[in-house]
Amino acid sequence: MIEVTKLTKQFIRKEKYGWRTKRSVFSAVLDIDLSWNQDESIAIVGESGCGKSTLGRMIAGIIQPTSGHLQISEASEEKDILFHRKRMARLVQLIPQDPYAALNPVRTIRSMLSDPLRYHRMVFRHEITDKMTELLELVGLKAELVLDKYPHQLSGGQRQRIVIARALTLDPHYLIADESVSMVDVSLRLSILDEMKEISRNRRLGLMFITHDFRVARYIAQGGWIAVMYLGRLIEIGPTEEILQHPQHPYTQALITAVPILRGKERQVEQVWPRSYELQVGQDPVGCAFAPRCPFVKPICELERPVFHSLDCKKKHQVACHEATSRTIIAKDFG
Amino acid sequence: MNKLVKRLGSSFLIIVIVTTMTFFLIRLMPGNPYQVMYHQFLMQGMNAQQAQDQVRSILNVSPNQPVWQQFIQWFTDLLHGSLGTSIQETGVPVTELIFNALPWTLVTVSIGLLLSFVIGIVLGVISATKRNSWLSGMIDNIGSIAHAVPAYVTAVALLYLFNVVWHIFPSSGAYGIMDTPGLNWSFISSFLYHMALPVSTYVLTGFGSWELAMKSTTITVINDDFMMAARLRGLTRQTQMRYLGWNSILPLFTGFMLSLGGMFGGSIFIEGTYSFPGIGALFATSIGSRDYPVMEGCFLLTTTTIILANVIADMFYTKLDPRIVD
Repeated sequence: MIEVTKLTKQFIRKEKYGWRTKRSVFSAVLDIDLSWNQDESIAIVGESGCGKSTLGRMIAGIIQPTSGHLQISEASEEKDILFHRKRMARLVQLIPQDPYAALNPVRTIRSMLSDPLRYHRMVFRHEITDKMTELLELVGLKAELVLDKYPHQLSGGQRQRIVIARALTLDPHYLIADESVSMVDVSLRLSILDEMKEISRNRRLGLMFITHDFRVARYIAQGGWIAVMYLGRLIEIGPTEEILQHPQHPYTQALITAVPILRGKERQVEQVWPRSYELQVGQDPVGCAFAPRCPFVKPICELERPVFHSLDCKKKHQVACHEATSRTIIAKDFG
Repeated sequence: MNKLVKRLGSSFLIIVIVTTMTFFLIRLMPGNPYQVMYHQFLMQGMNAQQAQDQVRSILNVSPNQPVWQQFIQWFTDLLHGSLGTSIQETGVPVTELIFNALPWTLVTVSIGLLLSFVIGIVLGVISATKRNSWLSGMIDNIGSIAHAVPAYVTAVALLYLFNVVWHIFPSSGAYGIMDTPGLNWSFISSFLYHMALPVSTYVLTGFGSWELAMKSTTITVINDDFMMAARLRGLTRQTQMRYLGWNSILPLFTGFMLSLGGMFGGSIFIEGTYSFPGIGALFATSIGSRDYPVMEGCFLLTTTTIILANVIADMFYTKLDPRIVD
């Protein structure tokens, strides 16, 4: 299980005014509490700039949190930082967003996949090719067609599959996918999502899918969890079906409203539209961060920060909002 | 292969065009040596015919011949492998002068260029990886200042400091007067001793641009997702540096080959200051004394090396970078 408590990442921004530099602190991720089991999938939803990628990279261990704690139950505490990195690499892997930038342009797919296998001594030397073939088949590629090619000779979909295969070379327990299909053709998205779902199910892989698209979140996290982020904070978390049926936070409702629906399916009663589409990054308000955009804003929202509370008795669905209430807004049958 | 032949063919054409143009251009400069010699003989009391014959017997060129006829004669000689004879050092073949000067320049400039490239690359990587520290700013500033100071100023400054003030390095020549060139230790050590200042000048004026170029390419590569992926997979620091270095050096390769080709041009200002008997000094003195055949020979050499280096860079680049397909 991965358990994250009070995880925070702050960046220091320097702004130059002539000779003087003004430093300001910008919080990309603020006080996030989250726990997530190895056989579950979780989708992190939020608009761009809300810190969801930073969260993913912190959990993968390639950027250090400013404060807070990250506990992976399978990992033992290692003092040596290099050894720690090596151990972490076999626990959590991250699939970067852009398949065009994620592959070293001057190395063949073979050397790309075999480097980690050799370095981590995953298999015997003579088994490396077999292992690579197996991995490539897993993501739906023919080994003899791609192994000795360079990245530029492959299509976007093929690259995305290679990136997934590369993340799987070390048999990680957890996989974090950072907007993994946003750069791929729409026609290929579904098959890649299906493959990721199947791989994570077969290998008992804890999948964290970071996305801005509620449709993708719903599809990938069936039976799992959805967590919604806004300006670095978690504002709502719950089981996927629960969130989709009864979203409590106005922002979640707005995100679901933003999903276009096909003609013929009626959206029910009130729709939630944010008052403004501008994301205010930088200042950390006293009250609720969403208050300036919220259509249901009350005086209390700007004075007091809402805390996470649960509305159902099982405490699974939690929301941080003063005005949390179920507003039925999604299409009736979304299947 | 076919492509190589094509490239060489077009390069040959370019060389011919450039040398033709320089042949006519240098004759536009004031001070025609043929005319000067002709008038000297006239003043010594010869009549026009005698003076003309005298000039022809010494320099093998008629002073009043039209330029295009001179060109045809020079070009046919060139096709037979002869660059003519020097005017200043009367009767000495230009090829001999060039081949005597070539090794000195070739060795010093190659060493200087390689050193400045390596130093620039290393400093560039350091500056890029420590981007937000004072070290990076210091390296960048030193690099751009050293790059901004003209080579001949650096040369004079070094000469003043290390020769006049501190008496550490010799002021002129390529080797001591007691040594004979050859594969003996005394000559080699003397040569290294004498080339210290010229090589330092090449390094000081050269490394800045490599450093700045390397820094900018390294910063682009370091932020690429595949570098993050390498860290993510827990690869060693050496492997990561190999990924980083190779990807950031590639764009600099063409520039390196081109400056290797332009090495003779750069040596003009430096070798003169150190009285170093290389191509640059030969070039400078030949321009000063309007020694047409030597100037043409030097121009031919410079043009040829630049263009050949260009061809080689093109050919190798497709081998080094798999993204470029020929």
